[in-house]
Amino acid sequence: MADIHLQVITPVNLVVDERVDEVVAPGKAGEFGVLPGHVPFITILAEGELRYRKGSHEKKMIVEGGIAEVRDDKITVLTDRVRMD
Amino acid sequence: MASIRQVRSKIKSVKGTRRIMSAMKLISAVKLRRAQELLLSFRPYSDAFMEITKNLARRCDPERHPLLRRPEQMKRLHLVFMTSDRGLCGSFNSNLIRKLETYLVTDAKKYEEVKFTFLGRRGRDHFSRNKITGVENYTGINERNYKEIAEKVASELVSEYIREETDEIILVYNYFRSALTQVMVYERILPIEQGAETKDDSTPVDYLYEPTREAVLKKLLTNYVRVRVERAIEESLTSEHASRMTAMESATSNADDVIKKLTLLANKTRQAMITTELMDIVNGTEALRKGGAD
Repeated sequence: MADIHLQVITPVNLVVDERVDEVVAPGKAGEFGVLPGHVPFITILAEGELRYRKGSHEKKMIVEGGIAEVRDDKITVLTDRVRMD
Repeated sequence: MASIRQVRSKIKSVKGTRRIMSAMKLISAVKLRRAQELLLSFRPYSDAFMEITKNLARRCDPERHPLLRRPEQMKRLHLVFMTSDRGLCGSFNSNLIRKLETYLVTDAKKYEEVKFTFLGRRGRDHFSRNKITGVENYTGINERNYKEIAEKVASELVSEYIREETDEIILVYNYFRSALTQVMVYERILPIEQGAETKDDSTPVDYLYEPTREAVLKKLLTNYVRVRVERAIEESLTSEHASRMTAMESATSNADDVIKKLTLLANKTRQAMITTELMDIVNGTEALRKGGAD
């Protein structure tokens, strides 16, 4: 099954770097979901919850704004800070 | 031959210098470790930032934002030159300065105007002797204030580029490859380099933007310049500590050699003195004995 490469990066560390099945992120214009085959997409992030699913495992974290880019089944999230709950 | 007292005082002074140098080495080692940690954790972020911006530059229409402008002719160059404030760091500054001087009389000739921003005292002082002064100069950059300085430098550069007063901006600094090697790099930050084509998008499709294209471009592009400058300063600071540590390390071992040689000399001098004294005594008693026999 196709998957997406998710990277969550802050100026001080690489938080997530793995292949996942689905990502839901807090865009400034509303929450959005990313599945494999998404069109190229850039958005400003709002502070909120970022969730991703790998198989039946779901993980989440709070990102504090930033930018997300989706391209070629890869999603890169650049954010200032990440809080794990 | 030098007197033993002279040699001994010389040894003492070399030992004092050695102590200072080995202390500086230890300080640099600590600073290096801290700077390196910062740099290594910032690299993935800035690399990703650069890649996104490059891809954006390839897909997006240059008319959409002044920072995406691609001048037809590169006539005016702005160089941002990063050196350290202090010396005693080996060839860190001198290499950079020498190479920039060569660059100025060769490749830079094709520009009608070359402007400078100097970060760090060494570069500024060197070039001010040749009547080259920076548009902006910054000194006293360290691990605590470099982010603010990067922001200031970046906003200056951005507004200059937007006002179309410059066509090309290049950063010149020492890139930190490892604690033992630092390489000088020229990096063009504006106009933005376009990302390489990937196999499945030879015909670039523009991105979807949210909330609006303008908002995304503004946030991404101005931050892009800041991130590039910040990264370069971090590279330069880390390289400086590494360079100083290596320089002080070799200076310490040189001092050890000198001390060894001087100790040998002191011992020889002392030995010679003893021999002369002994000879005097022997001669004296011999003379007395001979005198007594007659």
